[in-house]
Amino acid sequence: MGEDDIFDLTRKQMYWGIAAFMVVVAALILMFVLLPQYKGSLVEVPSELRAELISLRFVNTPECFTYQDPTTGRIFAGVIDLQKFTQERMDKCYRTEPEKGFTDFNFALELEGYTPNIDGKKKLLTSNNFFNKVDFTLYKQVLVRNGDRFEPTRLVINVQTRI
Amino acid sequence: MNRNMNKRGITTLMMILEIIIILISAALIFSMASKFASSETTNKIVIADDIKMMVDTLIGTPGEATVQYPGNVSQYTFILSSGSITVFIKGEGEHQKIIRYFSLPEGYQAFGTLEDRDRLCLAKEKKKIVLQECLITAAAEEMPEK
Repeated sequence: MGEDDIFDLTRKQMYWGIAAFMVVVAALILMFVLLPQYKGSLVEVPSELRAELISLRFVNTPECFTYQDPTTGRIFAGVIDLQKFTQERMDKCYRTEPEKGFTDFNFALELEGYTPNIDGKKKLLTSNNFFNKVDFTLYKQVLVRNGDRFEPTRLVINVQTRI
Repeated sequence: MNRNMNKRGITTLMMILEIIIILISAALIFSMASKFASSETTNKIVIADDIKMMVDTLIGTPGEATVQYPGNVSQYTFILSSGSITVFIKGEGEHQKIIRYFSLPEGYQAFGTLEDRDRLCLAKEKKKIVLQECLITAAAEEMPEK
């Protein structure tokens, strides 16, 4: 074996060493970065849609804030009962896990024209893991039952997707 | 000259080997990606997410309602509880089960299991969300066409 052949062999060995390392790195990137991203894109549902579906309960469910006629039992979808629009009711309506609930959807609700100001700040109804990180806001046209009157307004739903 | 030819032969052989290795790697990566895309895990995630959204929608629906899942789910087993939906294939380990959590308003209940059935339905009856086989639809599908 001449000097040139030895040089060739060493060069090939170095080449294959580097190539093998690159293939391993590429495989690791594929397994732990690209494939999870790809999987995520396949199963992704827009956050706005998820939040919209969860927040249906705020305007349509009598166990939340929706007005229900005490005599007939009829549920008035889209009508907020002002008597029910309290923090206590919010806690019963939507609650995330106390410890890891910050990774889930959390909401802060404002009923325009009816949310009280305390020390210059609006007192919103918040779910238990809402930490003022608003990712987007949903708006719903609603009626408010205030005494015997039905008054039109907007329910502003501030959504925190995850922290 | 013989040495030169020998060297050229080795170089060509190495080149062919390299091309074969590259082709095999590419085929492996491609098959892995396509298997991943059509994998049962992805299907389970999609179904679990869909059922979670169906539960959220039913809660936000006044009155009673029944929703049929638009697809054949006979391969999967479902367990619905008041805080979560679990989707898995019979015989799978705990780590392969897909669980999605949701929150029900106070007083609401969710329950039901389903296994080896084509059609899945979620029904809202007063304050109960029930996961069950779609009996009405299954019966209707069996009726002969006029």
